[in-house]
Amino acid sequence: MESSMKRKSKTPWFFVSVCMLPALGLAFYFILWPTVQVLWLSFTNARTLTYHSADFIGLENYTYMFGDRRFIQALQNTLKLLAAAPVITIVNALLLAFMVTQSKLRERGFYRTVFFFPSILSLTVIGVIWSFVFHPTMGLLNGFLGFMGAGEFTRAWAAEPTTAIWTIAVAFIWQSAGYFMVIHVAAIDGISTEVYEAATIDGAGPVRKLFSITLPLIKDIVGITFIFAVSGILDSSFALSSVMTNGGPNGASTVLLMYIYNQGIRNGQFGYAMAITAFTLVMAVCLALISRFITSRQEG
Amino acid sequence: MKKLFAILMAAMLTAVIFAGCGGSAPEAPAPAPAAPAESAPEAPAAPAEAETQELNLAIFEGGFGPAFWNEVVNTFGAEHPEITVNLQISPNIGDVIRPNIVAGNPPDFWNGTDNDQTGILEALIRDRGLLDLTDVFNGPQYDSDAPLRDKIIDGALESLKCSPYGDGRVYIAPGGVYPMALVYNTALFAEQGWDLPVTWDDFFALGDKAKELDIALFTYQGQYPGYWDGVLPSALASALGSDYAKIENLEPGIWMDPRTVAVMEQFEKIYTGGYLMPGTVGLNHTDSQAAQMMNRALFIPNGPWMEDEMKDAERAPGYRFGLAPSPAMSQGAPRYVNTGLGQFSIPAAAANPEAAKLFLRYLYTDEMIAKYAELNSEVAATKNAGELARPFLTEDIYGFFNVFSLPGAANINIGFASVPEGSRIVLSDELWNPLSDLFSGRMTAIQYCEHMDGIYQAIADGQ
Repeated sequence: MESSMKRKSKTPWFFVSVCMLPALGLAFYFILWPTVQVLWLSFTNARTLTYHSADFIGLENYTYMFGDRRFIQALQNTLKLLAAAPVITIVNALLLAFMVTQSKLRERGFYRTVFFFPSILSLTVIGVIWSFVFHPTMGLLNGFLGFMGAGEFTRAWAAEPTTAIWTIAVAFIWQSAGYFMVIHVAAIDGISTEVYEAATIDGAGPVRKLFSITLPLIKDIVGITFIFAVSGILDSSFALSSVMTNGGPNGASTVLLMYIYNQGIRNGQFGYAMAITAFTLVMAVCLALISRFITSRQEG
Repeated sequence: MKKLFAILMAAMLTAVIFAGCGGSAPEAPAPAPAAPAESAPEAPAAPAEAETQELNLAIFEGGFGPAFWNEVVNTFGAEHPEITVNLQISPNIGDVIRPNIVAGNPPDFWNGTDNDQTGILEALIRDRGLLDLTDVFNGPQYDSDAPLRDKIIDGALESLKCSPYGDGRVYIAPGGVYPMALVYNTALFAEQGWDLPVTWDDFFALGDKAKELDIALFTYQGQYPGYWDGVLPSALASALGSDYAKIENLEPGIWMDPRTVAVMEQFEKIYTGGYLMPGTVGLNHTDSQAAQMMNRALFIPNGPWMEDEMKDAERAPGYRFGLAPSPAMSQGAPRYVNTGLGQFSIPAAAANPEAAKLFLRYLYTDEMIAKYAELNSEVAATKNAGELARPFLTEDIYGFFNVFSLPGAANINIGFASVPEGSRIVLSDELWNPLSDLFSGRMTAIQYCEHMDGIYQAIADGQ
């Protein structure tokens, strides 16, 4: 009897370990090991043909990086996107989610599908669509401005250094707000209807409900979607910039990932590209930690 | 028993997954063993010829598909049964072969695009990864004893494009030729009775006439300022004469030469004088080309591929393609057309360089030159290619190759020296991208020259 109790309580550590091995092995081989290689290469002068015989050059890539005008420009462009796009995306996603869950519109289900639709399109398609919106001569935006009698505001949106990077932000927000909306909708659906009913009895309007009930109760999910949006813009900006502006004019919409590609692939400077990659990785991790810190502090 | 079974299953699962992750670099095809002498006692061939060899080709697939390369592989294979030719052809061939090159297992022969955007050619040049082909060109032609060099168009082998280290050694064999300059609508010029501009003053005077018809003088492929290689270097070469070599050899100081600045001021005037088609900087290549074909602009920098690339585009009634050289600073100065050269090369680490060299010589036979024109619509870089290709070219495109018959028109093969090993500067980006600012009024000609001078200085300083 005693021995059978003992057997029952015993966790099958050996079996669990063996079952975890494939997952751990894959994670090590495809995530951890490449990351270690990135860090190692960033301290070398590896190039296309010297990948296997690269020399260790210490911090030279990093010191050059902070004096490289093109890197600074790409970093500034990326920071501009990071500062604006995730916040606007999440605010939009929240408003849309609130609308499709709380409003009494009969077409709610239809809107839910329509808003989600852009996130199933490929980024290339989205880039092409928005290129036509911002097209200098036959673009929808310039056409609309002209129609409204605001012809003096028309411009080559994707070709001017002040606006090029924001065309990418707009395309990203349009593409991803619907996706985050769905996550927020799921979170809102998890809130008990009784809470809303009680608030209604107490005389709370839709705005009050949004700020006093919905937002505090789904804050954790909003924090997580914000991190997704940050990593999303880092990732998507390369594809959108490649399609919509080709990084131009004169680097005004070149983002970090595009500069990594230019240096690593087009220029064959693996070592230098990996230094920029390592920098981007550290930056992304720091941003994620800061976001989590802010969210958890509010929770506390 | 159950436990043992579970462990075995888990172990097998692990093994299966890791079997797919074998990380060893792809290995070079092992040389096929020589046929044993006794297996073919009657064969009179020398033992070396009896060996089967592999020749791996990596080929860029252009708009005309693989027809030409399939034909070459078949005919070459029929003449050389001892060589097994493996054809790898893709529109993204650079990206396809990059991992093999990095792993030290390059193809035996590769043909990239003219302006290889993948960086493979640039990397192979910078890191001395190409085989010296000088002996191929000094040696006999495939089907005659005359040196192959004599068959190639003048100036090509000596250009930095084919001889990238400027030491007279050929590392890149010239493929197709593409005269690049200012494309215009010959029908419009004939209708209006306009002459092609010779000097920059003529150019702008023509622009004033075109303005009266609501036609801009000029447009270019806004988002892709790399197309400027068809015009800007030619204009600089005309003004700088022999000193133009300093531009290609990345010598500091040449961009601040008053003659260089004067040329750049002409380009600046295209914007400041209102000669640029509105919206140009925001257009991509097909949009800007379509606009030019609708007579919204007189000139656009381009080459002979434009006709095929735009074959489905709407165009002004009667539109005909024509090519005009870059204007010169003064009457009598040469007006250059940059003849771009496609490239064939053999990586230094190729497993079978001798077969690749034989294949390269075969490509320059008259039969293959004619096939090149017939199936790939390209004119090879040989002196007789124009006539061999004549039956297969449209009248307009034949006119592109005939551009040198214009008075004062001269050929130049533009090619920039490779930036030194370890340089992190992307020269093409620094050369072309700031032109977007020049053509938007955000940068002046002198600022552009200062920028380029700074870049040349940084390269000289080893950055």
